[in-house]
Amino acid sequence: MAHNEPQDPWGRLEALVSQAERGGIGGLSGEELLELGGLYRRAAARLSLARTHPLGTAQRERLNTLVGRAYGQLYRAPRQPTRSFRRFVLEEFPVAVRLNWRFLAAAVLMALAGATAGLAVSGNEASVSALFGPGAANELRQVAQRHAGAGPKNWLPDDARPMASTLIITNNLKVSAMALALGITGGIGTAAVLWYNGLMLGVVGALVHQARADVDFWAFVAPHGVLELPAVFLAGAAGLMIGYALLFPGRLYRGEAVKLAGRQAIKLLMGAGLMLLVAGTIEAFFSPVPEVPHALKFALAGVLFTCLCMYLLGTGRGLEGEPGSDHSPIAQWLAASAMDAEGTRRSRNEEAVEGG
Amino acid sequence: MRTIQITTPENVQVTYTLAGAGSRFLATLVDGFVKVLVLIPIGLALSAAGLWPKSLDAVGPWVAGLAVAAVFLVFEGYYLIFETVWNGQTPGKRAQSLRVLRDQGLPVDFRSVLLRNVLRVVDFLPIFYAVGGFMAVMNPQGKRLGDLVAGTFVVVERPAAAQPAGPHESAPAADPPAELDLSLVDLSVLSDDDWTAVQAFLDREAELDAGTRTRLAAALCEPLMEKVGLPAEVAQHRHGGVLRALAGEMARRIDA
Repeated sequence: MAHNEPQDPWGRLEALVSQAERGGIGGLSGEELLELGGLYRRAAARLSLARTHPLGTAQRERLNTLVGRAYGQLYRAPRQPTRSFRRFVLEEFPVAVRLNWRFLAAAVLMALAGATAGLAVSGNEASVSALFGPGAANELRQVAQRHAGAGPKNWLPDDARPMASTLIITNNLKVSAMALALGITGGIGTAAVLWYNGLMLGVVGALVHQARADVDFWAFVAPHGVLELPAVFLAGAAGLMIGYALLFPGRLYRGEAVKLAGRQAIKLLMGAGLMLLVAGTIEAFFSPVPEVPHALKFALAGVLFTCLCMYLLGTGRGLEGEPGSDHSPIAQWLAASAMDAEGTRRSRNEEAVEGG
Repeated sequence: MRTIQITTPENVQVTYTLAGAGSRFLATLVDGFVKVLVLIPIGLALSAAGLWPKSLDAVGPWVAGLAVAAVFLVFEGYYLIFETVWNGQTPGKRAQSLRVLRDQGLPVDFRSVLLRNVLRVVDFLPIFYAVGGFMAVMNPQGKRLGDLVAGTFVVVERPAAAQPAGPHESAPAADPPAELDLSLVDLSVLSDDDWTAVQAFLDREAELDAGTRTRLAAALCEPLMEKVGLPAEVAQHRHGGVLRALAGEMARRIDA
């Protein structure tokens, strides 16, 4: 860069980078892209050279910022929302669930522990009041009793259904997000969330049983529960993964391990989110409908659960492990991370080929 | 002012300035304000459609449900949507010239944005980002918990307007003497400090008044000319121009 040149040589780079930042790198023409690449390399080289052949401070800062911005634009993965979504649903999510089944099992066990505690505690009036507020036990029993007995029950009036659907979905999403976020406490917070949700289910189940409304209640819960509960378990597993990485980073630095786990765990949460959207809709619009006979509700629940299992167990290629290789979660996550990168590369190549 | 250096695949080091906890907190205040602001047009739209203010029962179940969904989306989805679509910025961050980047200096992707914002609830505890703020102050890269898990950090982008545009249009008229030919001059005798001084002068000469400019140029130029072996008369008192010619010649040789 010479001061006696009339034009500003980095002005062109600045213009191209700004254009890419505004409209995306795809908005540049082929020639502009080549120009950007060339200018970036020249600017980067000049910046590197600035160590031995110094530029003025202001110039160096400007060049530094420019190189940083250009680097950010040139080296980002192009956004492929449809392709990424399809790859996530058909490959990444089921593979991730299978890979991290131990964490999922742990989450289920924690919730079961809570449910058992709930069953145990529900006989005791005082504990139920302590957990759910005074008089809660009576209230729950009364609700259950109202629904007990012969005849179909309308658990949710038509008017309230859209609102209920929204509230259910948003609440479940928040609980799931919380389950993941609390993983940063080494998994203690996540365990607490799982245990507490199990507890509530246990208590409610016991009270419903006391009011002899079992069949009605479980017929109501089943159609959406078979999606909602696994989703919450997945979110819990995600949190436990992060907690595990924090406590047992293996050969990695703790921060590296947590980042790795986070990137794998977020897949579980994203899948759980999708499941909750469906579950919430079912919970508001199908589960409460009295005209649908119990048998049908249970049947649907069975079908949904079977499909879910087939999907999670059968979709997507798994990770092949050599016998005797390291099977610790950290090692598995490193392999999964490499597979993710490979998948992104494949998607980009596909797109490039199709684009012509 | 904390900085972070990343190395590009071209083996070039780029320096980023990390955002301080103060600017980040201010950014969240602005974001909170904007969130509320966004709800106003929604409210107005509902008003215009005759749907508000009415009790939620009166507007019908679907509108009520959608309204609640919209509010949820605005409040909980705000950071998620903006940081993804605006490449690591939100209105609040823009106000403070901040940007979220991934660890290698790469722009954020949806998953890192999702991770850092899911962790936001923990960072916010017990009130007003106490945990997150503490982490950001203690962590050498200024990361809060969300940044640690997502592998991101927040930088201050120097606003483009504050940068000099290169050669100043109002540059003084001192051109190098016409007969000055530097092509055979040995520039290697000049040290790094010499070049830094020359560039510093050229960067800022437009800001100086004429008297200071001439004095400084002469003070700088004469010893350099001696080192390089140019006789003093060659400058013809146009020292600023000579300095510019030296810098230009050096740049020409580097780029060649």
